[in-house]
Amino acid sequence: MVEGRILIAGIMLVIFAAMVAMASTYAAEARFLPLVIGVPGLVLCIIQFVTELRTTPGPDEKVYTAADRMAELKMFGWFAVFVFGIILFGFPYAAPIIVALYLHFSWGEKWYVSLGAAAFSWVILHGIFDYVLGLPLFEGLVNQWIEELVYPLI
Amino acid sequence: MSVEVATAALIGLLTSPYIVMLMLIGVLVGIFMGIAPGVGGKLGLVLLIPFVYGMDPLAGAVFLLSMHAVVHTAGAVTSIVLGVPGEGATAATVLDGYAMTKKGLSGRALGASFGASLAGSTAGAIFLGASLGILEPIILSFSPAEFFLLAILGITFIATLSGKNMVKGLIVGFFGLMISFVGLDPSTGVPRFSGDLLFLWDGVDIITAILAFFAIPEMISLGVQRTTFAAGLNERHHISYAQVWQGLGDVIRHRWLVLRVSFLVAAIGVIPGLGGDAASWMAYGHTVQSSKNPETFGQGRVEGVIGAETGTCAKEGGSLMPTLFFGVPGSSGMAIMLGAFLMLGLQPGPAMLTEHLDVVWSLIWSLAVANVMCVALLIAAAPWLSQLAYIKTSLMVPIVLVFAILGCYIGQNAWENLVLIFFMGGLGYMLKRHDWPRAPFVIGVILGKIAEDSLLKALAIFGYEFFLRPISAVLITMIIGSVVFYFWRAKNGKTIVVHG
Repeated sequence: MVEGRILIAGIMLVIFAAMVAMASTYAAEARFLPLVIGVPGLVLCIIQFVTELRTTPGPDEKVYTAADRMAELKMFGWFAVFVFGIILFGFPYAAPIIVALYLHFSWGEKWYVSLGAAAFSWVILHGIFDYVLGLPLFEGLVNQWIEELVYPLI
Repeated sequence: MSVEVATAALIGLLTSPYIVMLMLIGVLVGIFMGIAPGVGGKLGLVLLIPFVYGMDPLAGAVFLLSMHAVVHTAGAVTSIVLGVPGEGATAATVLDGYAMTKKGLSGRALGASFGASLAGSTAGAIFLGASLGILEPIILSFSPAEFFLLAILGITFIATLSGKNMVKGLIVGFFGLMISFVGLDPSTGVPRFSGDLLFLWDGVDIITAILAFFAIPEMISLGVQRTTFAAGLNERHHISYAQVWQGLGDVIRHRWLVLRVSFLVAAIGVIPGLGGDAASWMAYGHTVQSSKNPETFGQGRVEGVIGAETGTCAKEGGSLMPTLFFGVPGSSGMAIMLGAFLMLGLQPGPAMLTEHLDVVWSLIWSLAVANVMCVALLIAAAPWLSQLAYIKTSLMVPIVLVFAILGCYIGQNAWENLVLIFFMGGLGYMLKRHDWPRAPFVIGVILGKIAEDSLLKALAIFGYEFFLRPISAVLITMIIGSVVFYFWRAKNGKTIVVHG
């Protein structure tokens, strides 16, 4: 399995290579600064990537076990649930529900603690952002689609 | 004129119930952020940013600065009581503070730290206010050419912020710069790195980028590790008011130390790139060096606590100066603050002196007033403060995630920013996991835009001859000096380790 430190150096290398390649297609004025920064950045990425490939981890370096990786994957999964749940169903509905589900299923918190935290997030979202600050909360793509479908029928 | 503006700003600050309430909320949040596990000032700032959307610029800036100003003050509690620094900046306080706790003097150490923080932050604010008269003619003589070179100077500080690995720091900083180029090119109107994605034509939202690189990695990390600062510690410490007052008295007894450290560190704080970590260690170092019994430090000397805490708080006044007047952040915290100022509509630069002097003075006063509020609250709550460190991490993670996601949405009302924060947040976590510095990214993403705009203006006004202007020559010398200084330090093993 590729070590994380090599992977992250590789990811940065790919990002810079892609950005430099894209910048080189722009008009002269538009590509000037992106290339002035991007090309040295790409060179540094290559240096870092090669350095990581040639480095052997020291004895004091943290070793990530399979359990650590699984914990990270689970957390990333929950992060994805938060982000895409909110994109699909919006802040007013998705955020409190996901907070409660996360606390109960991921941390094993009792339902009353999980629902209390969900209620707190709902109050802050609606009370402060929606009511006090008057900032409209995103209602989610699914809700928007449903509204678009239902409104013409009413 | 300046005295009148300063007085009016202070009166305006203290007589507005709205501003006072915001400051109080900011202070309470700052205390929580300072003491609670795994949070800290930078994360506190990025989390409060969503709350200031739509606020009056002054109110929003004072609110954020009040929170930021007191995080270090409150962070000393865990350093002293639990021996666990809440942030890198309070690490120096552990040496003598925790040693005092082990001797049963935690209350006295806390009192000394509160008094020193108050004195330090006040001195830092005075330093900043007193410098305005000297700075004004210098700042007003700057043209876009100088601002371009200042932005470049700020970018060279990326190296300073990179800690032990300059290559990693430069890559992340350059990545921030590349991200700042996303959007329509200001001279040709060509969409760069954004293709047909209309929400990117105005560029990547700075707040989304900051939240992705600071808030998300911290929360993923907390969610993975599931620890608190107080994990494994079952002791509960009794802190008496009598000890706290004794500690406050110690600050008065060591007033000359407080004065020396305050002004020394406030002046050092002006140098961008020197974070609170370096400032507190410099202050501690000076305290030890100037003592007649340096060998007794680390064993519970109250002067050690006073020196470190004074330095940590005095730095804020100094680091606000380059942030406000040059748009070059004095620290990674100030880089986030700079992003927030821009979002609020406060454009750092000479206009802050000519058009917004009242705002400048309000910010200066808010540094001091917030610390007065904070110290009063901390003294009142001293016997129960350490309990905050036992707060459940589980409750913080999902709620902070929701507010971080909300923060990236409401800036531009674009749900696409949520997709952006998902991928950038994942990248931010990977960088954190493998010890890549993230502060240079913020510097890059903020200064990239300023550098490009200033360069275009400078070329239009002066052509390429702008490099030959006298002030430009001074700045070019400083840029070269900054790079040479970094390499000299690196060669001598004196790189500054900046956390985050």
